[in-house]
Amino acid sequence: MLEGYIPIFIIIFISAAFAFLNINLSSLLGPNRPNKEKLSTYESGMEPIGTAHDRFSIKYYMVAVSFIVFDIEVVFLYPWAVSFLNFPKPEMIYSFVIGLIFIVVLAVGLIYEYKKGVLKWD
Amino acid sequence: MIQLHELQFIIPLITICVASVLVLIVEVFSRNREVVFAVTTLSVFVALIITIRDISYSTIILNNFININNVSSGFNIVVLLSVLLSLLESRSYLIKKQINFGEYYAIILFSLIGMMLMVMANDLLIVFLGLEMMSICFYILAGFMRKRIKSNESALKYFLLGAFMTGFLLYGITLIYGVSGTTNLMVLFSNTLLHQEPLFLIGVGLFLIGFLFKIGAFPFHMWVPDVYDGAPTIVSGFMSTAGKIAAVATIFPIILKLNILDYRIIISVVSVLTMMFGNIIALAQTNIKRLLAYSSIASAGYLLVGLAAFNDMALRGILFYTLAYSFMQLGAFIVVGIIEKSSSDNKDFSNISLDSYKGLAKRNPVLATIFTLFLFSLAGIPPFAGFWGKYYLFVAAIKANLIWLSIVAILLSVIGIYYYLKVIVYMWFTDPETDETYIMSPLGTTAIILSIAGTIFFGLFPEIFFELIRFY
Amino acid sequence: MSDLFYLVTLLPLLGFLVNGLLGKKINNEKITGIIGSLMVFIPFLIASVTFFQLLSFNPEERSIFVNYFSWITAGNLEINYAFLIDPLSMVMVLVITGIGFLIHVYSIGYMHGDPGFAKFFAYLNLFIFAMLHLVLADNFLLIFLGWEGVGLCSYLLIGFWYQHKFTGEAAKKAFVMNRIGDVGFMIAMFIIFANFGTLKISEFLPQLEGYPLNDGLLIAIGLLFFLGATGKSAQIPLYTWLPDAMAGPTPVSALIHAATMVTAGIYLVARTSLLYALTPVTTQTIFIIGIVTSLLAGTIAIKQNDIKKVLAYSTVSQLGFMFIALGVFAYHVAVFHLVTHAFFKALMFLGSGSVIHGMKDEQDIRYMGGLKRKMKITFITFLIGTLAISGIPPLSGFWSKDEILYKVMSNAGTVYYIIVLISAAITAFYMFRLVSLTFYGKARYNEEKIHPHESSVMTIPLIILAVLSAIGGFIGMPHFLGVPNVFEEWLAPVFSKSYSVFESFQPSVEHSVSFEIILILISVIVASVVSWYAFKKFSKQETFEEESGFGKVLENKYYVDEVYDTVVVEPIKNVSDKFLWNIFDVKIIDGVINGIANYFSKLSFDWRKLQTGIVQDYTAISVAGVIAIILYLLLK
Repeated sequence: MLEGYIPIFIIIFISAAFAFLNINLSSLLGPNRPNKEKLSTYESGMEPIGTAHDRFSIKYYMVAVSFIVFDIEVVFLYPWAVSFLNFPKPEMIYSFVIGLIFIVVLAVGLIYEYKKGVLKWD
Repeated sequence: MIQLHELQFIIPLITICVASVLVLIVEVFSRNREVVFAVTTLSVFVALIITIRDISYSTIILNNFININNVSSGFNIVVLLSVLLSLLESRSYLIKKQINFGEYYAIILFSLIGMMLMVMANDLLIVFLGLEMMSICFYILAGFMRKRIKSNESALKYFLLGAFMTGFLLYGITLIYGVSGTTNLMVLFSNTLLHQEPLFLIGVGLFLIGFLFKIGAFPFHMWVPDVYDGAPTIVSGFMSTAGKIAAVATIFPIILKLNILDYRIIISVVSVLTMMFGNIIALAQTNIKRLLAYSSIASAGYLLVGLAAFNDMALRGILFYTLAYSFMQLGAFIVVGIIEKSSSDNKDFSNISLDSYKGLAKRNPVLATIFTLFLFSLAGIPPFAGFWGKYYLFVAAIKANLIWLSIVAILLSVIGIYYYLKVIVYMWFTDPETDETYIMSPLGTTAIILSIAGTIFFGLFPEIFFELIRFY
Repeated sequence: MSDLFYLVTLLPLLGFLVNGLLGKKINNEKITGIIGSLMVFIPFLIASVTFFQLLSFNPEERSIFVNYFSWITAGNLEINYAFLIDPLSMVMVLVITGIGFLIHVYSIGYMHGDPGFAKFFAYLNLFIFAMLHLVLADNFLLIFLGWEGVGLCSYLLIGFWYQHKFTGEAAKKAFVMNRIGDVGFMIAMFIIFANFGTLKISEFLPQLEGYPLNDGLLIAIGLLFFLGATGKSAQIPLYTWLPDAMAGPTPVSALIHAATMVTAGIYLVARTSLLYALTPVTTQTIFIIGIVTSLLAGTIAIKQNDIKKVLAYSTVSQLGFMFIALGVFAYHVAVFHLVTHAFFKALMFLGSGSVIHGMKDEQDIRYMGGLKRKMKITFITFLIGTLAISGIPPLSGFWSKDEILYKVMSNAGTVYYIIVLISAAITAFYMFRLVSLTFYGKARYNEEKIHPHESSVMTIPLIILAVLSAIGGFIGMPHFLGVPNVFEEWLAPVFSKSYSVFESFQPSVEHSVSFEIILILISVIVASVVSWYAFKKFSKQETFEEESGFGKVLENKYYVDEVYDTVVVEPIKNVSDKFLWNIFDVKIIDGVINGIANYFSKLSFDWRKLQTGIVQDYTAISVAGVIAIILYLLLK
């Protein structure tokens, strides 16, 4: 039944044990002498400013999301643009229409984003 | 390659897609929420009518991705119906809560696309796509009252748990694909050799777990009360009906056609535990939304009783129960919404404790009567639709030789009557503490009348629905 | 026309909804009354057309089966919402809608000014709706729906003037007594389903054909159905509700408690006549109960002084006659008497309503008298009704009653014939006592205060009904007169099987024409003499003495109500109060229930602690679930 998978289980077990052991071994074996300096927050060698739970501007997320959307658009559209000329005629029109729909849907998203003022950077 | 004529089978879906894009554009260009609302409602209505008209279609289209038959269309009708009902009441609720944004309607439509896709899916990828579309929209909707902490909390909890559980579902799909080399459901159903493969069984098990989470079954039910409590009331009603129905409608045909008996014991045990937890914890609730949330967990348990039966009677029961459920559960949530939004202070989630229902019968007998009818139906008292739903489900279990399960289910649903009656006692037999008056908007009234009519009509003539969807 | 037949039941429902929901909004007696009446009149027209359509078919084909939709499907149980339109149900539908319409029109006048006017019409329409289901349904469950529906309407309408305590009590009494009968009906239904696997009448009756006579199962079913019939049709032992039901408005008494609802029991027996033909034992029971009821109620009626009470006991007695007819296997005669009785009893009730209305709600005939001149139309029509019920030829009651007497003579024997004849004579006696005391003699009321009058909207139905009472009997004249008995022929296809069963064990006796004529002469002479005697005796009576001896027993209705109270009601009250309530209910039942409830409440408070509100906990529990499921799948 599952015999074929025994090696995989062994590997899963070993990798989990390896990670678990290494993390815990270092704290077990290493010397543990904490002082004030050692326990303070480390921030690129600088004194920490404010709390780490600060809010970021929503713009960061918006840009990130927009980037992902257009990034993926390129990933899809590039192969499409390269290959659709090689198709015979009916398939060419078909893939053209499909690609068009894809672009229109994305364009609606872009229009929406634009009108909502997401792209205004002030 | 997609043939053009294939598109005629998915006109409802296309209608919703076009409408959702249209809604977004109208929202940004004119900000006219009346138009947005009208377009949304109209498109759902049109989709509903077309689905009913085209009920007899039975075909597999779009590169074997979509499977249309009377069962999927029947479930789609129920889903569309519940979306329509919740839309009708949404407007006045959103205005009162000052969150009447066009995005709400767009998101509702997006989630509807997801649900319909999922219900009609003939491929695990489409199932996943639909499920994710639906779930992401739900995460947003749960947090739609973005200035309320509880709403944010509910959205975050739902998102974290949902994303986590989706991982299992995806892993299940991966395993299934890994073993079989296909994600096409028809192939998976017919390849019975595959059904012996342990990895395949585990894959389907994980897949099932993903859906058990969505319908709120034990032990994956923990999110339900917190999310329903925090989300805007009308959204809770929407999620607990349309979302749950779509999930059941997707997983049930798959489990039924795979017909692997190993899952029967899992589902039976899960259903018993779900009913137990839902019904028993509901007894101690003092918040009406949480009470309804636990009652919806219990309802998920009843649906699983049918799921465990693996026969056509169960399909009948689930179809009917979901229909009845969309009327009565949504109706109950609409009433809760009306009472909540009329609170004078308009603070965070006021008027949702049971105390607000004290003496409701003296203050507004109509509303109290309506709510009582919904609760009776939820409790499964004839002649309301809820009774027949449970009846068909339990009969299905008996037919499948799961007599113990149906006995347990009946006993546990008796416990359920207790907490529904508690609310009714609060409404009818205690003295009012406030003298608030409740405003029912015309659209909300329409939604309530439709729900009441459905609850009573299908309670009196349960067979008519099956004739409508040609399911005999 | 059978395409439109669904309107027959739908329109009364519509009327009920419109008047019931919008009646207060409309707030116009005319519109309400017209809607209520039209919703019965249109069905009457449709039914009439259907009737003529049926008439154009061959006698054997005169039954249309209309299936509207499947109502309940569960396992073997399949209940369709289906109607059976055959000669028997057609007769009933025509009577219900025809007389119903007249009574609706009458009510417009009678209920004028009542605050519950719209409610009244809504209830009446609902009643018509339920009653039509009762007679049209093809399966017992749908019949039962109508059966309970008419019971409900009866309850609502008896207690229509709910401000008075006694109307409420009367309504309750009617309801409870009917429920006793309903239990019989239900058990009969269960037995049928368990043994025959169907509730459809058209499937149930054919299955009976192979059964031997007096089969135990069939006797049980027959007796249980008959128990239901005694409740609805006010027969011993469940008749006491009907006289009390007179507390309701008079049109209700005419429609429900004289013409239609109370005949439901007769209809039920006639509908399942094959069952009774196969079980002579049950039929015997029906016969005896019919005779005893008719005698008992007739004698009580002699000493009643409330105009409606007299009519009520007369109804019980006449229903007894119908059961006598059923008890001598003369089903079409029973239905015939049902129809003629519907005519003249509705007429007399409406007439009594007119009297009561004109007399400012006086119901005691001791304080009436001499109304002949003041209420001419009422008097003449009432007299026609009285002559009809007393069996004076050629009015309708004569033909139907004489047919019953003849059937008793030929199927049961001379002794029974004489008993039934006495009962018929009693009918004539108390009816003429009623007419004499009400309309003849001197006025015994305060003529300065009360000015009897009539209104036209009320008298028109009276006239129509009077004409029907007068000539309605010609449809069922006996054969020897040389004219065809159209009524018997019309119903023949329904009862043919029952009659052939009956004739198989009791060959029909052919009597000579002279013998029949002698019987008729006897009954005519008896009826006339008794009528004349009663008229002479009471038309001059002016003083009323306290009753004594047997008269007092009669006036107090044989003390049946009191006997029921001490024998049935009180012991039950005692047992329920002392044992069932205080010990069984409070200690045992409540103890157990409360214990269970407390247990679950406690459990609930414990379990809800699982719901910590912390996402990590939720995740942990979910993962535990995932692991459990995977482990099961791996290790099973």
